[in-house]
Amino acid sequence: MSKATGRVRNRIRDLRLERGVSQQELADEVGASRQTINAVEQEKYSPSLELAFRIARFFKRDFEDVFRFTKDQ
Amino acid sequence: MSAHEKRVWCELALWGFVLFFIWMRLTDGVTVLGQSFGLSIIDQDPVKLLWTWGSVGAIAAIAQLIIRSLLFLRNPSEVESDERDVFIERRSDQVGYWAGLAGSNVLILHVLLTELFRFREDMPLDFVSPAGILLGLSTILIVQEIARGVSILFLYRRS
Repeated sequence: MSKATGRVRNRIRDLRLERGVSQQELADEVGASRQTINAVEQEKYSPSLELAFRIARFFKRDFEDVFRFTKDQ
Repeated sequence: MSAHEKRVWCELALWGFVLFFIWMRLTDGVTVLGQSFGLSIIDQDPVKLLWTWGSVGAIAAIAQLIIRSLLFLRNPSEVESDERDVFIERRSDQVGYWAGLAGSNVLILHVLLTELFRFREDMPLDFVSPAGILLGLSTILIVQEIARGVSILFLYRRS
């Protein structure tokens, strides 16, 4: 079985700016720290499924509108 | 810098001080501020060794409690851990485990090689004596904590 390698990309920063929400406000709403939201936005940290769903729900978007998995070339 | 990183920086300073203190107490050589510091272990009275071990442990525990309490009092909400903090702690625990494993093996190897190639009585860093065992094991435990702390700081920057 071939191993699919890639990374989780997200549109959190765009969606957040679109709604005029600060990182701290988003962090408070989804139960994470501001540093964690910043790390997720910068794609340095891949959130757990639970946190990812909470973020998508906060923006009232489908999961795949916010997160997507891109395969390495 | 998050409260977690501040705590780790303070704890790294604490462990660095504790390591320095133990080496000054248990070895002889260069004299710094009236305390000896070098690579020859001084054999000491067991009561004095027990006192050193107990006092260092108590000081480290109290200092950690003070550091955590002060950070909590400054901003209670910042001290709470979220999933990334837990992830970083777990990864760093693994790094600490490997550092401890490596340190233990280096100590075992050092003791065995010292016995194998013993050519004079006053070998430097002879870890077979009670003072040597205390110094060797304490050093491994502290290095393990330092490796864990450095890993936490690194992972907060990287992930």
